[in-house]
Amino acid sequence: MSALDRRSRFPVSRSLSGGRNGGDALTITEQHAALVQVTARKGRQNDVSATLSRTFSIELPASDRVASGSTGTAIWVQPGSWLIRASDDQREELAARLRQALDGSAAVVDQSHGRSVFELSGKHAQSVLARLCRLDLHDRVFPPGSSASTIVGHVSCQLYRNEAPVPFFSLIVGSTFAEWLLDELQGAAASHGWSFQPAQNAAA
Amino acid sequence: MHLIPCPYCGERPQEEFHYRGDATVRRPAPDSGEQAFYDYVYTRANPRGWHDEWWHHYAGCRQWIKVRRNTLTHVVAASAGPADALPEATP
Amino acid sequence: MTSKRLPSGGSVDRAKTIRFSFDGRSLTGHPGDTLASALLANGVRLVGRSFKYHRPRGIMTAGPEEPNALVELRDGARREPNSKATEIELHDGLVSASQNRWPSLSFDLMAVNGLAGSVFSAGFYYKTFMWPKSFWEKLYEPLIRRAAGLGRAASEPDPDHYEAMHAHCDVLVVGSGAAGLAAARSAGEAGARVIVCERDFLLGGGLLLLSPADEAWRKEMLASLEGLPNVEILTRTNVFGYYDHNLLGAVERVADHKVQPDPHEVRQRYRTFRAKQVVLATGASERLIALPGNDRPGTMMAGAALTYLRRFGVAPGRNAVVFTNNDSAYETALALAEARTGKVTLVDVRAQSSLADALTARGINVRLGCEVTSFDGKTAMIRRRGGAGGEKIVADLLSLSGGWNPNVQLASQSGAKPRWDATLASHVPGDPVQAERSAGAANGSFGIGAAAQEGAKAGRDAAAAAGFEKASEFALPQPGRAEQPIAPFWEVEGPGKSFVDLQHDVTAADIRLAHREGFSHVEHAKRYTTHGMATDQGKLGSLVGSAILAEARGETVDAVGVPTHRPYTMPVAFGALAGHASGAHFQPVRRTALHDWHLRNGAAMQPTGAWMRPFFYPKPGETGWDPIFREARAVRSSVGICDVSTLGKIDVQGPDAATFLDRLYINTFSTLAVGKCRYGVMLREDGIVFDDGTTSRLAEDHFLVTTTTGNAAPVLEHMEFHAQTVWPELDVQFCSVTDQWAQIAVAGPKSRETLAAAVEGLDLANEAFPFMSAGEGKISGVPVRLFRISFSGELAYEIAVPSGRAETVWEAILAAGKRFGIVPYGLEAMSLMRIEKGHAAGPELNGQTTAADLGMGRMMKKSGDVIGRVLAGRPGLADPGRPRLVGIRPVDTSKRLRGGAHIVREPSSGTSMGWVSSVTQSIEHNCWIGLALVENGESVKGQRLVAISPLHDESVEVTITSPHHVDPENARVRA
Repeated sequence: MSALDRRSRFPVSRSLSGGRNGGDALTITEQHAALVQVTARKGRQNDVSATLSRTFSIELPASDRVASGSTGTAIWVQPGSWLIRASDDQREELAARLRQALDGSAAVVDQSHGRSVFELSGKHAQSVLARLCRLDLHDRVFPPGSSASTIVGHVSCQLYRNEAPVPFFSLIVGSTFAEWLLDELQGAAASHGWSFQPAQNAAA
Repeated sequence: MHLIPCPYCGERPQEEFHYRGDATVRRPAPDSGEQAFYDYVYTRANPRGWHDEWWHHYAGCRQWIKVRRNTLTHVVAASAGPADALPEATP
Repeated sequence: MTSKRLPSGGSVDRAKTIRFSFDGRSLTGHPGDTLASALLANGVRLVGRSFKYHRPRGIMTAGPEEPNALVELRDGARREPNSKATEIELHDGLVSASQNRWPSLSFDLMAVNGLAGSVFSAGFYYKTFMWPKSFWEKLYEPLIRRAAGLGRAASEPDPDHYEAMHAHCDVLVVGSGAAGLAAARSAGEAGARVIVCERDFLLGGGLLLLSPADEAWRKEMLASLEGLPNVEILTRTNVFGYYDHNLLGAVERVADHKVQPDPHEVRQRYRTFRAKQVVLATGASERLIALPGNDRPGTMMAGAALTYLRRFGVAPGRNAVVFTNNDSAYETALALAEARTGKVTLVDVRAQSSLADALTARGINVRLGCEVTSFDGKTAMIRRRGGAGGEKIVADLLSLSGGWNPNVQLASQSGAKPRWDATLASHVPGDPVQAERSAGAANGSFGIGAAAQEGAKAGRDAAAAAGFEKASEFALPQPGRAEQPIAPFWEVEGPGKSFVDLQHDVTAADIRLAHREGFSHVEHAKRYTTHGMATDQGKLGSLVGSAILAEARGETVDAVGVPTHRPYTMPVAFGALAGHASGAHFQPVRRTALHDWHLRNGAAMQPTGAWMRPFFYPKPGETGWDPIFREARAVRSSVGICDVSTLGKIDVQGPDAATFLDRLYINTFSTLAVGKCRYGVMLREDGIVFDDGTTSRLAEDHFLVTTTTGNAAPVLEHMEFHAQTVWPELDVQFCSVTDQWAQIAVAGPKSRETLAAAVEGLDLANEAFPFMSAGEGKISGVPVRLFRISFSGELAYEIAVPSGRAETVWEAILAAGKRFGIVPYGLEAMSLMRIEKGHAAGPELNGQTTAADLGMGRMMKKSGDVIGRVLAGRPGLADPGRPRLVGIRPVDTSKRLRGGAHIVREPSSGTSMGWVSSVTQSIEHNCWIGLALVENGESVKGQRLVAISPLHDESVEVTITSPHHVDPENARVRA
């Protein structure tokens, strides 16, 4: 299977920058990723943790955290359930590999096409998100490694903060809401200025 | 306006929740008859004061949590997971 | 001209000139002015006409309590009525106009209302305009609208932008006077995250009224706050409401001080604050004294007069009478005397005052134990208190002070019931209910020194309560001397109108009338007289009205109280409340993975719920129903392709998945073979149909449930509720996969041949892949799931494809179907065909119908626990006579049918037997057809009844048929 036809979710006609200062205040990057939701069967959470640690070097995090391992990042979604994010080139195999390794201890559901990923960076990232989200994302309260399932731009999202010197957030949203959310992000960033980097065609 | 203390996610704004009302009613056994199901679906005490309620954290952890809330003052005293018990009593 | 700019003083920049207009006159002011101060500086005395009586009115206050100086601000699409001149920051190019006057401000024909005053007394709406009913539209309403209007809203859409912003802090400080600044500094230096909101464009509140020597402390405080990175200061930000769990709402007027906002700038920003602790340093408002003529131009609150003198360097009049019952107005008298514009007389109702000598020494005529009995704009009458006769004093300014009300509105909204303080003759904040505390004048502690001290403590305590204990020390202003006690005083009775609410023209007599007519409770009197219901929320006279009511009732003011304080403390524009969420941003929009393909191929897109969906794909020259008929005919005769990605899809897994679905649906899924689909119906617990859809078994412990588009989210919540709370012992996992899979319907007699040419790895022959099969294959190398299911009633398939590859697969199917003339079809053709086929959809699954009503009663399995089974058996729901799903066709096939029409036996019978739920024009029958829910539906089949639509004045004879207008034997789907 070739990844040839995985393209940006957005028409090429979309502006790549806008707002008052046209770019440096907030950078919005569309990311392609392999995303798989893993939900432990009743009473099997320890088995799931052990398998992911052993086979994928991923330590499952607590409810308000993300944790990264060599294979990818685990994001807590709900009790007993995590979203595993890995690089896009693992998209074809990740669900199958997890399913095989977990061997019935968890429901494994591919969401690589069901979710879109935006990364937001820049000194105004928190200020822009404060227009779209009711959570307190201040450095003291939501430091790098923090994660939340919450509402951003009126839609349910997974939001987490990455380890980085400048504020740098990942935002995972249902893919049918992606264009709406991008419009909201750009609208909220208008008074600062934004730039947008669509995902590249994997073959390019 | 409320902040709902989700046992899994911490305090979250009410916009992330859907409300379902009385969490003390229990679904009757399937053979309990019409009156029992009628009470389960319709009969409510509608208290002025403390009330144990279902709130669904639909935009968060998607758990149906139990919340003990004062319908008069809107003070929230406790919350618990879907299959967990709230504390016995609140003064 | 009796008011004028003074040569020096105030926080205005006399070196710079600002040009603005009022009622077409070109005027000038200075940076630092409000529109009100600039109008006064230009000698403008008359600024508006009153609401009911059209009495001439002047500027009365210097803040949000202003009842008179309401203007239309800006023009064209940006025109904003009812803007308070006292709150408008002067800027170059400002355009303003007085309102509620006709034909002009100085000559108002409606002032005749004042002569017919008895007509407009309390309760006049209720009494006067009751009947006859027909007079309302033609006479009363136009009369009231003309006579009692406020300003005109703009008639064009607002060109400006608004947004919302949500902030969090440890300590929110509302107000930046002495108490607010001190609170912010002590909390900030303790390390707390602090936000300060100041309504004004300058920080300092009452500090701005001090002499220049006292300015140093304000400057020092501001400099220290600027040095604290954890303190954010928001000016032009009015906190309008205090809600549950320490959430406060505010509007920041970002660009209201500009002709138009800068590019990418919002006009106003709606803000919410979730604060761990709140310090309310909102100051106090001066209350008026009711006396005849207390609304005449030239009447001004004493504190406001001081503000114009000290902050704006404007003398509000030449010869002044200051009328007071407390010490605060003495400062006004001194400031007036300092301005040296004319004679100043101070009238104090109190018999003694230790301050009298100091004023006399400055040339002020001090009259103790006296009262002002009337004012006409040129002269004030004074007399010994309660005495007879009177003395005429020439005065163009009557300055009133009836005492100060702490601004308890926000504390009161937070749940702290205001407490009566007899020494202040006012309410002070009651015991906190939420995490808040009041400080300074807002708490009844008057004077800069006392306020600063209390503010510093409040800030320290708030920070400590939020977990920040670090102590800080800074200098505070010296406490002032103790004030002499106020003499509670509310009204000087006499002939003429004594106002308690100037904006709504409510007089003291109206309050007494309300009491006589039985509206004696303060909340009733408020509504009967409209006292306190104007945009100033009764800030000037609410308590005065209560005092007059108390006297009429023979009770104390304390016992009578004031009406409950509710948001908003100041008017808030709808634009600000809507924020960014208007127009295209009103609600989330969902786009399927094929959205761009639809756009590129000319689809007419329509919102359906949150989704954008193609309604049809019109070709050049097609109008009306043409494209719908063309698309539906292509499906019925050959093959069509449709984007059905919006269907809800829920992945259900686990050892107990089948058991769970058996309880969820009225039919059985545990018996479904792997690789098969089954149509299912689920009920609510009350026995009413909730949703329907097709469920496929992908593996022994793995199902894919589909829901209707609109119920995708409610069905998942319903599943989660039962799995988590009712049957927590079941091992079952759910996950919405609606967005993971795009879904494509391929329908029509040529659909198999089309797909056979496109699909690899799956035998589509009827025997190998019969109706209701589920399987996997590849199209263009993309792994897909195939389901042989049909909504149109034709041979049909649905293909689920990972959404990122939807377009590849869609294009491949189009190519494969080209030789059959494949067409894309939209929602309208789909709807036409489902009505022909008699499939129930949204209009039939309307929250009132049972499975039996929809002809699916026999799907209910014989035994086992099913949600809704017990209550569906109630007599009312099990009654065989209930409206039941049938088809209808007009006897005269040229007639059109209407959704919502009633089914009756005779046009005149008046008894409805049911209603028409869905209608369409049928391509199979070449006439309108419909679905209806009709009582005893089975037994009336074949009969002729009448569909009446009184709304359209239509009545159509119809034949009742099976709901299956097409292929009732269901042969096509199995072909």
